[in-house]
Amino acid sequence: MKRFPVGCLILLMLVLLSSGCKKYRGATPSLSSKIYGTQIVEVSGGKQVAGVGAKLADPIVVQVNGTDGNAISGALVLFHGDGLALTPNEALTDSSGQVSVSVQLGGIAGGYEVAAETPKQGGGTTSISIREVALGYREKVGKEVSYKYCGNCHDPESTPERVSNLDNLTTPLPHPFTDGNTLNAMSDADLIKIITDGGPALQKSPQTPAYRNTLTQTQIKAIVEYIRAVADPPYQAPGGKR
Amino acid sequence: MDNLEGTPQLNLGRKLLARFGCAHCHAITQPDGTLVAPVDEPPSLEHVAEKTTREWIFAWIKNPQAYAASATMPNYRFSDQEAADITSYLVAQSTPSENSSHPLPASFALPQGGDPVQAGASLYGTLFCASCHAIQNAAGNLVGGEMAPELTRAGNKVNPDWLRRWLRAPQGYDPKTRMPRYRFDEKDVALLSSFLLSKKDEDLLANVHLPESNPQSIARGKKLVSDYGCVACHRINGVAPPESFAPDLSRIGSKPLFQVGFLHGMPETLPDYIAGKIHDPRAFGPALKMPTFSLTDSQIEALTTALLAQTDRAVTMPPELVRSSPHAKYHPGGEPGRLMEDLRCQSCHAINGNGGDMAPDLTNEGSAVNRAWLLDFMKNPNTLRPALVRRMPKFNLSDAEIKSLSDYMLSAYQASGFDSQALDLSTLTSEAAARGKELFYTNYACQSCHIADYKKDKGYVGPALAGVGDRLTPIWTYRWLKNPTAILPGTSMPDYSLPDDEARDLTAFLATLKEHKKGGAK
Repeated sequence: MKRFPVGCLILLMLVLLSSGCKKYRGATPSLSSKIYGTQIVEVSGGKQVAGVGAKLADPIVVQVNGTDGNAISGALVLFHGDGLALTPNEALTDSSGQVSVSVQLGGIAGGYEVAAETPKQGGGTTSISIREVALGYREKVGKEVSYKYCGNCHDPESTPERVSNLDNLTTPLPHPFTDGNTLNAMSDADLIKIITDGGPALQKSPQTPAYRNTLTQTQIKAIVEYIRAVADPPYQAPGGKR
Repeated sequence: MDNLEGTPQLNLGRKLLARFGCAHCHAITQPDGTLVAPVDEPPSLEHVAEKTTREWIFAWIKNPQAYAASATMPNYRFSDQEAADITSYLVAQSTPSENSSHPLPASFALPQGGDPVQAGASLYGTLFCASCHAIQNAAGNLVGGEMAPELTRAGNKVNPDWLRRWLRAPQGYDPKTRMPRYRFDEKDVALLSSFLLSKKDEDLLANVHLPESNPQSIARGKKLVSDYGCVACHRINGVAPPESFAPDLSRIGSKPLFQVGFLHGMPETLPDYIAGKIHDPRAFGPALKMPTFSLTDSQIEALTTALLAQTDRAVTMPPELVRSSPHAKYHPGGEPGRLMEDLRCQSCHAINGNGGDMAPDLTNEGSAVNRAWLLDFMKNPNTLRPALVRRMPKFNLSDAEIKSLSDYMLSAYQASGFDSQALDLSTLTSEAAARGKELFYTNYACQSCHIADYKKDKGYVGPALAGVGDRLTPIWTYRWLKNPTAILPGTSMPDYSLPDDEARDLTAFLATLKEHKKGGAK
């Protein structure tokens, strides 16, 4: 443990008290800057999905803005995330007021939060939290199966390999698997039932076929695991634990 | 090896082992006892001087990805001198191809006022060259298939006379090419070559100034070609393919850690070693020959998974525990067979277990389709899947060729159990069709994925069914509806396990879907 002189400690406590008990979440920064912004925003890189332990395809990019909303260059940004490897974990914003950080996910499946914070003039920090998702083995299998059997209609994005069919369907339209607002309210049992026996089994559209004879129960459960993993807002299982 | 259920990462890794040609240099025996077979097709270089220039060969060797971002060939980081020496040898060893003795296609007087490049570009589009070849668009995205070489800068590479002969008869330059022999006329050849020669980047070869070749340079080049194992991938005159050029990787997943030379500072695990070795092989020793391939992190991860699965245990498993796939070498026989080879049908279609997977398997095509439809389709292949960019090209076949191919397919590619025993055709009444229509639109919402009527249906996940009554035999349709997976394992059509009467009614409805073409099929 480092030992601070008593004076410093008191000063630090005062600063903490005056800033609503907020302190840097990561280690004490080694960089410093006298340039401060008032707000930090995400530019890109949130809500990515990758396998456990994988490096995300795109970096997270955040921007520090001043009171007038203009980007501030040279401001200090600190990154912190439990279980994540963030490179770099602190940096000064570049000439366009942005910082880019590459993210390697941890070894446990589930959601990860990256906190990006920047100190404010006069003490305290402002921060944002960016969510990323790590898929474990079952969720990866679910992703694979749903890409082939579900994605045509449930994924609104088209790729060169697969054009989304969603716009060609009649209402009620399918919910993208990331649509946590709707899908989080459905129980695992209902999701399994609708995949197994088709939409009509829950008085829903026959546009969802019954996959009883096409997919195994393991595959169907894996799809549900995948839906839960990518839900936005995140899925909270009943009782708080899955 | 077949795809294994529930192991996406392993399946991808195994595909990549074949796709990136790892097995050209490394022997990799799979658990079923077969070797990984490369699926990339490094071109023969036996006649390379006919195809391209010394400058292009040099620039390519120096940095293949500068010519085509999608190139599989890795950058060997050769010095200018080494690249020039290899170029000297490749040009010196080149012999005339069979094509070079053919007269050039007669030159075609392009119509006045038109833009041949523009006209060639639209011909390139209507011929569906993009099913196999990709070209970078203005936004820098690759558009097209990856079966054949990227053509973004083809104009920097190919000799115009070579290109015209190639378009006429690709097999006369490379007998093993996957490119079909299209029946192009002089005008097609002129327009396509105008377009392809216009695809160039003026800067690519601007700074390449090679000294005259000399015997010393040629000799040094030959040694480099031999030392770096170029012939493990390419056919080159005067250098024999090496045997076991690189270490056997069949049991790499069981390599004892004490035998592994880790780099200083890297985590000392086998996965880290394998991934590190793929990521930057020469970091493990400057004398190592393996080059760095253009792979993404996730591709490296998948390759590592596939290699870790190559363990002592996996390759010594009793055969009854290993699912192996038949390694068929089927090729059609007789005169129609020669025609199908000429058209390279099996570049895209699998037949009896041999062939590509871009287009439908034709093993049972004779049981599936009606003769009139097949004749019409081969004359003018229209698409059954509106959303698909990749389509069957038009070969400009003669009527006699079409008849020969159709007769052959309808008799040779038959499945068992598709006779009148399976379905009594007299039950396909108009009442049954009316019930089938109701089932189609209401009970099963088939229009979500299929188009039965272009005026109101929009689903394009599965093939369009408008005209399916012309295309498919009712017995095939019935058996497909009963159990699609039994006919085509892995199809994305769900198996509804329809009761016999519903399958019959749907079949009756689908049989009524006919497109009334002007003139009809010839």
